Amino acid sequence: MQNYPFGRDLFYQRAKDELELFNSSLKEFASGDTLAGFELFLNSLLNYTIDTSNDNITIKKSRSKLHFEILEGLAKVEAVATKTTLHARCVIISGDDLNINIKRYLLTRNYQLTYCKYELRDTEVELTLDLKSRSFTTHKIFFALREIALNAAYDKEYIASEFGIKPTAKHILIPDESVLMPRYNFMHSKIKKLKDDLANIGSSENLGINSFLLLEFILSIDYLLSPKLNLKHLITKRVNEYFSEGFLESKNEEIYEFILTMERFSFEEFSTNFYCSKQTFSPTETTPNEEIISFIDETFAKIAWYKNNRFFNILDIIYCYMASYLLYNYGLHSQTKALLHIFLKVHYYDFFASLGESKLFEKNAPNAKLIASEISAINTLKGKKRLEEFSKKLDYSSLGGFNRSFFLALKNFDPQEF
Amino acid sequence: MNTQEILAKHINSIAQVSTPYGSGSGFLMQDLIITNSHVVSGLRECIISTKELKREVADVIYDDSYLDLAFIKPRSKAPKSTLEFATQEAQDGDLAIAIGHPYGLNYSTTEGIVSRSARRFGELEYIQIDTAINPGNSGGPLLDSDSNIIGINTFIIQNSNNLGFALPSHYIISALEAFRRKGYRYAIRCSSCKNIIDEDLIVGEYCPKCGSKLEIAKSRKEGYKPFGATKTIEQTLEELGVDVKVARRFERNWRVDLEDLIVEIAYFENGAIIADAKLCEIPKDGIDEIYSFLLTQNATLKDLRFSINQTIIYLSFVGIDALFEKNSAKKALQSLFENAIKYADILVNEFRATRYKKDEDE
Repeated sequence: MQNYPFGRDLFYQRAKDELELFNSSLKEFASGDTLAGFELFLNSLLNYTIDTSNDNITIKKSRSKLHFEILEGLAKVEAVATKTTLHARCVIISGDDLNINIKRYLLTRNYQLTYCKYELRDTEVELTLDLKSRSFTTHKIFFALREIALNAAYDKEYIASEFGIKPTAKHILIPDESVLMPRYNFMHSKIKKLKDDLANIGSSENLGINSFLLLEFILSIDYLLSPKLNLKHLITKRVNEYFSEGFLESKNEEIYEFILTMERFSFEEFSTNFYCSKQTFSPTETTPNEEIISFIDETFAKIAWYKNNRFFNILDIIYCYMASYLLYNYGLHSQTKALLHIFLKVHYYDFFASLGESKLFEKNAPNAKLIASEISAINTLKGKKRLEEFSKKLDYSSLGGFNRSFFLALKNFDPQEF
Repeated sequence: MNTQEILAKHINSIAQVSTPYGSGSGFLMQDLIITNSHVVSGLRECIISTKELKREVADVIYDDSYLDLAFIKPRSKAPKSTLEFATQEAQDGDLAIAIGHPYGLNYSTTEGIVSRSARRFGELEYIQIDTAINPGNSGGPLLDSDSNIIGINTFIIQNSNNLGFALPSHYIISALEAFRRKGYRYAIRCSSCKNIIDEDLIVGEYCPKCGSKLEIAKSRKEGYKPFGATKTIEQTLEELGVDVKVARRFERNWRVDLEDLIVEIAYFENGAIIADAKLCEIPKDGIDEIYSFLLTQNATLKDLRFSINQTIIYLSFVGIDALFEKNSAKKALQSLFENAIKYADILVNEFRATRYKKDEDE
């Protein structure tokens, strides 16, 4: 079965010697060997799947130039660096596909971008970057390359989903049925469960319960299925709308309507929302641990309210909402992401089993041995001991105990201190 | 006279006073502009403007932190003032009208009453008013119903509901007379011994009369000194023939007037340096063609970009402080100034765009 990522953030392992490469790059730039500085920096951005390079960056050297390509989702950024210049470009859309809406969008984006600009060159719209400096440094090029790669990827997706233009990207792969069918089946089983929950747990007297059920649905679908293009775009819209002004009742209704639209997807239509691509930069900055703690505390307070008022059936859903909201909305350290992934594996054991993975929940309880083993297998250079301590703090006796102990342990888990 | 008639009568006597640290109001009296000391921020030079006087550098010739007063001498001939001090002191319940530039909103007038004519704060008495005054009103005149000056708007109680305070005019008249009597070129008042000191005689930073440290003397001597990328931006603008002192809005903002166009330059905390030329507003027709033109031209313009924000078409230079090198920045800004005029004409003449209208007081 093909490897398909989870979530929106960078899914792959960073280079083990990432920091050393970055520091060596700083030194080469400082010593005046600009092209060596570029090369080391680019190597620090390579990522891996089980120790095999994903080739998300390719480099070609000549005597006075460095040609390289960065792959970021739908975007392929082609760049040339010399001792004093850096030029990069990414084709966004064919000139033939342009219409007034897209042109306006691109010109508005030009007002927001710092390093790059959109231009219509010959028959294609490109996002371009032109830097000149007598003293390039690693940081000077890092921010600029990150901007062009992430914005090109974002806008190619946005233009495809908002304006209905089929994206052109020869470097992406369409996943085969073995990848997509379990996901399609899972979506349907989850919609069925949601309908049951809305009928049995949902309440017209407490719209918050319905909100948790609906939000948990779309956020966990977003992480577990990791859809792209139109489905991703619609999920983003619904979540943004939910957290903006408006009446809870109508926001809940809109999410539900959207879920009913998903339910009507044929497998073919569902399949158009997925592709496999390489990633280079993380789209989110790492969130300070204090913000994560604050979110957990706020949600604990809500859980306490529902518990005190005898709404016991919603509690597991709120814990899953916590995990999927953290994964959706925060820039998480790779260890925190991996822990939350395991948490969702416990709750969605059937889905992961359909992907060929072991069940972390059996006989009405979390499987202590397997969970501890997965936690200890989290890929990390530092902090192994802290991860062991994390699994020891978990309560495996029941799902409720596991949920609470997991987030209590997460509150005191700060991977950034390593 | 109603408030608007009062404004119409005295509008030419109301000044805007700014420094790199902020801006406030002032008013013409004889050959001087009177404002608050805190408006001139301890600097010997500031920028003034009135309806009749374009922005220009002026000299702060008297700085009195004790009374929070400053007198500014314009370098060009000051327009004749229409304002006079009231002959009688304000009384509780009297009408109190403020004129000024709150938050940069030019020539705003507000009306209220004197809540208490002599509210003591420390050694001084202030006129407490319920007339709405806000940041930017500082230094502006407080007038009575006969449109005579009863005080200078000086401070508010933060987050209160219209608790404003004006220094009564008798303090201003006394300070003006004392300053005139002394005949010093530049004077500052020592806030410890209250003497008016000839600034030319100050040695170091200490009051020659009482020996206390004069913070204002120090800051006036040092003046405003930009550094880092701000300094590079200002040097670049100077090399392009821009009067940087006049162009400067705040420490990190500049405005250059190019014929009918405005170029706003801002240096942001994230390191971005953005120079935006507001070219014109998008037309009602032929918008698709104008978009295509802008996107195509973006491919031909080095260092510059066309963009749209709301209804305005911009030509901009966007740089980063870490990459802002004087020679390349000079070329880019020069190209922006030249191309802004050229493209504004093309967009108006060939695409029927509407030229961007400046606020007449901008």
